[in-house]
This record gives sequence, structure tokens and C-alpha cells, in this order.
Amino acid sequence: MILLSLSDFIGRFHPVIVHLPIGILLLGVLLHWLSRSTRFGNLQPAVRIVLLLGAISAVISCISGWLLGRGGDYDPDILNRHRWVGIGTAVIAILYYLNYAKKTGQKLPVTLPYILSVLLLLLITFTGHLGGTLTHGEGYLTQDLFQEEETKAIKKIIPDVQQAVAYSDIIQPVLHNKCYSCHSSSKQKGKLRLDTKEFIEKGGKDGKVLVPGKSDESEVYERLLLDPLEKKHMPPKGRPQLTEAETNIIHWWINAGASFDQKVKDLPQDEKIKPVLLALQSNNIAAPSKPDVPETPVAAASAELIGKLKKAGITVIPVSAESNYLSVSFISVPLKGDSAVKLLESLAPQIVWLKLSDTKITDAAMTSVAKLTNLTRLSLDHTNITDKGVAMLQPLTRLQYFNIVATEITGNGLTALKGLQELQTIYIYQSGILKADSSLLRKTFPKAIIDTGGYQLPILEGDTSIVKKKND
Amino acid sequence: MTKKELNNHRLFSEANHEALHFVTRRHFLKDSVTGLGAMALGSLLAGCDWLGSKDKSAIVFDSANPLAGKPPLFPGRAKSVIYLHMAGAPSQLELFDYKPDLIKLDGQDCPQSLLEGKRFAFIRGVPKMLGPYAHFAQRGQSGAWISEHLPHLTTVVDELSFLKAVKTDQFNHAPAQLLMHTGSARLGRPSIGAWASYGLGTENSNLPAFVVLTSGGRNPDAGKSVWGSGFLPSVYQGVQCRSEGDPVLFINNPEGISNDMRKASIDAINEVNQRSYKEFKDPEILSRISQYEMAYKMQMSVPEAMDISDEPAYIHEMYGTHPGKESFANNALLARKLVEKGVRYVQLFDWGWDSHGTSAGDSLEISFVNKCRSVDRATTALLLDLKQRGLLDETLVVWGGEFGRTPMQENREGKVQAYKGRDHHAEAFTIWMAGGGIKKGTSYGETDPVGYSAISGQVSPYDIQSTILNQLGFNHETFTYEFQGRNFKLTDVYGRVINEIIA
Repeated sequence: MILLSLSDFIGRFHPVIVHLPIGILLLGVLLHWLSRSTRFGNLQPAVRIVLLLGAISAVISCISGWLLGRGGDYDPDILNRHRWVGIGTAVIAILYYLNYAKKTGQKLPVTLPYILSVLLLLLITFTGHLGGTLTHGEGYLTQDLFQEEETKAIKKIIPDVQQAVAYSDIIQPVLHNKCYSCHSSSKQKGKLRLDTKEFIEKGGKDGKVLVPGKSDESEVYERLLLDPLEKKHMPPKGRPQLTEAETNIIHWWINAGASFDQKVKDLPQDEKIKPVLLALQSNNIAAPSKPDVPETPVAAASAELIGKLKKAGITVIPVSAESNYLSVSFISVPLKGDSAVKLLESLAPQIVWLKLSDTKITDAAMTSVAKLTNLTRLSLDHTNITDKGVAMLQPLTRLQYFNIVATEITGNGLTALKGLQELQTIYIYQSGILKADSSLLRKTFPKAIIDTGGYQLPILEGDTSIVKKKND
Repeated sequence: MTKKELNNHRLFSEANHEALHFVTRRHFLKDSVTGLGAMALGSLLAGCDWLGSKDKSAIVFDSANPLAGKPPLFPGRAKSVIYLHMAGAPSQLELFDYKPDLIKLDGQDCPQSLLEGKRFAFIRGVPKMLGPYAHFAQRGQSGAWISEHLPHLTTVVDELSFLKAVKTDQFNHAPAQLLMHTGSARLGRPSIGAWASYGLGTENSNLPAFVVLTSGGRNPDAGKSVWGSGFLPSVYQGVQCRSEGDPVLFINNPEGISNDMRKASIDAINEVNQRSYKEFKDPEILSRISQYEMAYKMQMSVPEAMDISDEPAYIHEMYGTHPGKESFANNALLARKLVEKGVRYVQLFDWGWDSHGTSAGDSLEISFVNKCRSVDRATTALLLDLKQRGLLDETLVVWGGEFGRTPMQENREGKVQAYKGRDHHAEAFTIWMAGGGIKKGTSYGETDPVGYSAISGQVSPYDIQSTILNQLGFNHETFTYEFQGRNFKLTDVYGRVINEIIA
């Protein structure tokens, strides 16, 4: 091993050493105050020694901190404040000691040591906080108290991947979700920022990280491929890793010239990347673009009301352990009718999924269902609901999944729900809706997938026969 | 009491008395003090979050109502799972993993690099490579390669997500099946279905949460342990139903016993049980009472749910079902009915995919083609039927075997075999999933040009289990059951949710 830089090495001790002055000086102040009372008067001789040790360790912290700060991996603004407040703390600590030990010579007011002690406490707290912000990032202290908008993973909705801008629609969201926590405005590990074109092109401590057209020379890609246990692997161990698709996309983007403004369609695409790109397209995915459980929390339904439903045999289950939204199903009680549905009205704010499949309900029950305005999924299949009932469901503006399989509802009846903008899938198999209605429905619900069902499989020879002999 | 018993009794009480002489007042005081201290410490520790063991979201086992519906950790994309297990392990090289290079190598000696340090179940020495015994074509918008053996399934490939590089570490049927379904190649762990019913309970209080249906004339090699409850309470094990005759043995009342009489006798038994509960307060008694009641309810509803004869003719035509016969098609239709009725986990096993090529009965040319024919139509019908009923959206369908098959012709005992056949192969095989929040028309993972091992996107049985749990709304790392002093997980310390195929 070659000794490269002793001063950098000493700097690395700063995070350990800083805790000495914090502890010792706090103890000193405590002893100082306690020793005022006669009960603890015998502590007086200790105060001097403790304050001296505190002041010395504060100075050592300052020196090591200065050396560490030269490395420059930190936000310069916060670093600057931390540096000077830290030095201020050390100065006050020295003055405090000198004053306490009566080494200042002149006659000073008796209250001065106490003023200094309070000042010192404030400075220690402030310096410590700034230091914490430097190592853990901004907002670390309060992140459990407040929800932070910025660190939330972003997901771009891409209707047509070929029309998307390669960098801002595809690459940047990946960088944002997986890299920005250490390489953007709040932190610059290895002096690298990845949040703008200029910063990415500038590179980090060891030079350029991106060589357009050459992914194997681009550190920003090569680091992803290293063994996850290796120190240089990015993102570091314990942080969310890039998925294989994300890695492939970065590889493709760099090799395609690492353009910051071109659209996907203008970039070369080989057979391998096409499916990966296509998978980014939102309409290729059956998943609702909106979650089927509202994001805003709701107050818990009263246990008494839920108990009442359960007693009637109705299945009531929260959609998840931490949510108060409810999923309700009549699956165990197919003979229940409209009166049981009425019980649901009192749980209107909480019910988001409702299954009334194969029950004896009639259109009259829809007056109660219409009050459940948070519903996102509603199954009315195999019931006697007609157009009259459907017309009452207009208030269900959040509805995404609507199942009317095996009902008498007609195409015209369904158009009453034209105003339900969130509808994503409607299942109309064996309903009163005719083939001829399809263009009408497509016009009424341009965003929804309408599953007509009635799939048939042709009879193939293999369905009924078996192979008995080898045919060569 | 005979004289001898009386003597024994006397001897025993005398010995007891003698023993008590050795217990002094000091013993009593000492035990009292340490005991009190321990009790106090226990309550103190219980008060704090001791090593974080008190998980807020931990599932509470309510012995009085063990199958009550419970919420998952987060809203799940799938409410039910249908797992179609082709027991014996179908050949991926004849179905989904198209390897044109293997055609060219057909009949040539297997290169040493593929054999060194490897063990096979039957292959000995240097086997010959075996080209795919199937024609392949790209189908659907997704352009998935799929062979002519599954002509119906080709029409729905755009609904499926293929995992083409699944790797297991077991090359014998029983341990590989156990690994696939219980997360351990050894006996004693609960199956995924048991975990699912433990975590979610049942939506329909009249039906079991976890139903198993078998076809192909044999149960899977690993026996009933593949749907066992392991160390979970036994109420969570899979209920095996028969697809011919009574679905559950002895489900009908014996002759001369009416339903009312059955109800009256169960009420009487429960009354006695209630009394003993009042006396002893043992929660297991409550569990017994609830199980009697559940059994009575199921007696009513299971025969109805398990009866496919009332399905319309076009549905029978679609699946290719023949009521009253044991077949995969009947089971597939039953699976749809059960999921419709709120059953959480339906496990199908179809035996007979073990194509070694030792005889016509296990050859790629004959029996394998017939197996494909027996499942192709029904599997496709199941997917389409679920879809048109709006159920595929919330039902996860998984299709696969316990391992794959070698790119080499099997040469059992070093002999040349009369039929084409492949040996067990753990390194790479294909599994597909559909519905339940899985991406449509995608493929993940890739094998080398001969389909021997994965070159990218390799996944393990644990990853598949993690993904199934994830779709049901559980995190495989926090979904635990405390047993023998530690929290057990389905996937042990392994498993990664395959996000690449999740929509």
C-alpha cells in the first residue's frame, strides 16, 4: 500500500471525533450548572478538566472536519455553514474554559460563564444538525414527520413509446428514481450530479461518466453491471437496484448516441430492445393507470356497523391491513336481497369494491349502491338488474371496473353511464347488449375496454383424437 | 380397585410425601422471589417493542374462526390463484423455448462442457443432442414462439407472461414439486395455498379456502404434502376434491339421516362442546365448534359448487368436458366455478408429463402429444372463460411443471432408446402466468442457443412464490408464521418479486 494522502485519511475520522466534543462539552455544561448547588459542590474541580478536554476535542474535530470537507463530496452551501459554525463552537468552548478557569485576567461579570454555556449549547445543536444534514441528506431528521414529495418515485405515462423523448420520458425517470438520492442537488457523491444534461456530461471526480455511443466506456452504465457486492457497484448495496429492463434501456440509450432531445422513433432500435421499450407503453399494460383504492385515507368504519353486516353473512374485508377502505362481497349469501344492500349505505365512505354477483337483488337496490360514491369496482353479474337500475348509478364517478355479465342491461341502458370518466373495463358477456351496439358503446366509452365475451374455440382434430403411432 | 392398584396408589402417595420433605420453606421463598421477578420482567419486555418482534401487521390466528376473511398487507391485484401444475415436468423445448440451433445439432454427441460436473437422473456417459420434436411459429402481437402442440393456446398468447429461464435445484419429481409449492425440497413446510388461506382466509364462508384437484390417474409424486399445511394450523391445508363421484368422500348423509337430523346432531355436539368450553376455557374447543359448523355448511355447498353438470352445453364444448369422468378439462372448469364462488387458491395437478422416451407411454412422439391435446383446449377455455366473466382481472393463473427437460436425448443405462425422450433438467425451463395484475404478452428471461441454461433473467421457485404472494397483497419478507421460536417465511431467505412481468 502506498500512502496517498494522510490528511484525507485523518479527515475520514471526523464523523467519529465530532461526538467527543458534543458529549464532553454537554457534560461540562451540566456539571457546571449542577456544581452551583451545595449538594453537588464537590463536582466543581471536575468542571475545569471536562471543559478543557471538551475544548481540545472541539479543536481536533475542526481540524479533521476541515480535512474531510476538502474532499468536496458535499453540498457546498451547507458545508460552508457547518464549517464556520463548527469553528465558532470551538472558539466559544475555548473562551468558556478560559473564563471558567479565570485565566482571562480581567474582571468579568459573574454571569458571563452562564451566557457562554447557553451559547455553546445552541451552537453544538446547530452544528450537529448541519453535520447530520450533510451525511444523511436534507430533510433526514423530519422525513418521518412529513411526507416528502420530491423523493417519491415518479412514473411517466407513455401513451406511445415511439413518440416519447428518450431522455426526459424514459431515462430521466430511471435516474430520478434510482440515482438522484446521491447524485443531484442535495448530495453529490463522487462529485457527480445526474440531474441535468450539463452535469451528466461534466462527469464526476474521476472524469467523464458518459461516452455517447459507447456504453462499455461509460461509467454510468458499467457500474450497473459490476457484481452487486463490489464496492463500486451502483446503486450501492441496500439501495433500490435498477431492474434488468432499466439497465437494458440505459445500455440502448448510450449506444444510440445518448441524445438528450431526440424521440425514440429517431433512434436505432434492434430486435432486443423493442419489446423492452414496448413494455414501457402504458396502453400495453392492462393495469389501471389509477389505483383502485383511493390515495386519500378515510376514517375507519365503526366496528358495530361492520359487525352488523358480518352477522348478516356478508363478507367485509379491509382492502389491506393498513387501509380503512373496505371490500364487500355477498358471495356467501346469494339469497340476500335489497334490504341487505341497504345496510351498506352507512359504510358509503369506506366501501370501494362491491360484489353483488349472483344475488336476488333488484333495481331498487341500486338506490343504495348509488350512494357508495367511492366505489371503484362493482360486480352486478348474474342478477336481475335492468337498465332502470343502471341509470341510477350515475353518481359513481370513480368506477373503474364494471361487471354486468348475464344481466338484461341493454346497450342504450349502459350509455346512461357516459359521464363515468374513470371506467376502464366493462364486462358485458351474456347481457342484453347486442353486437349492433358496439360502435355506440365505443363512442360512449372511448377510454374503456369493453369485453363482449362469447369466445369460442374451433374444434380441431387433436381435440377429439389421440396419437397412437409414431409418424416419421 | 384391586388390591394391587390400591398398593400402587399407596406407594405413589408415600413417595410423593417423601419428596415433599426435601422442599423447605427456603425453596418456596426463593422460587417465589425469582418467579415474581421473571414475571415482572416478562410484562416489562412485553410492554416495549422487543426487538421489533411485535409487527403491527402480523396476522392474528383466531382459532374460533380460522378462515374468516382477512386483509392482505397491501391491496392485492389478485384475489384468487389457479395453479395448473403439469406434474412430471413438460418439455419446454417442445412447447415454448424455441431453439433452432438445436435442430442442427440433432443426433450429435453432447459437448463435454454441458456434462462436466453435472448430474442427471438417468443420462449416463455422453448422450446425443435432441432437436425439438415440434414446429414453432411466432404468434400474436407479442410474437411469442409457441409450438404446434398447443394450437388453442396460440390464440391467447397475448394474455400470457412467459418466464423462460426458471432454474430449480432439484432434479427428482417429489423434492422439485415440494420446492415449487412449499419453498423447501424437504417435507414439513406449508404450501403456497396454505399460506394464502392463512393470510387471507376465505371470501365465501361456505367453501374451503384452498381446493386441490388432480387428474392424469395419479397424485403428484410428492403426495399430499405439496398441498399440506406444514406447521400452519391444519385448517389451512388444501382440501382435495375428486372430480368423479362425491367430490369429498362421505360428504352426503348416510341413508336414513336427513339434513335436519344431521343439523340437530351437530347442534347437540356443539352444545356439549360449549359446556366444556365454559368449564375449561380452552380455545381449541371453539375451533372444534366452528369446524363442525363449517363442515355442515360445506356439506350443503360443496356438492353444488363441485357439480359441473349444470353448466350449459356451450361451456362444456368450450372446455371439452365430459361430466363424471376424471379429466384435466373437468378440473379446469371446476377451477373457474370455485374461483367464481370465492375460493382463494385452486391447485390443479395433472400427472403424466414425464417424457423420458423409454416406451410409447412416455415418449415425446406419442404420450407427450396426447398430454398436450388433453390440456390445450381446457387451459385456453379457462383463460377465456375467466376473461369474459371479468374474473381474469383478479385471478392469477400459473402454468408450469416442477423442472424442465434436457436438450439431450435420454440414454437410460447407456442404451439407445426407441422413442424420443428427454431427461429431467433443473437448469432452465418455462413457466407462464396470466391475469391477476400480470403483464400481458411479455416474456422474461432467455436461455442459451440449445436451451441448456439461463443467460439472462433467471428466476427461481422462490421468485415465483414471492411474485404470487405479491399479487395477493403480501410481502414475502414480512409474511411470517412463528414456529419453534422463529418466524418462518414461505421463501426462507430467498425470493425476489419478478417485477418485470408485473403490470
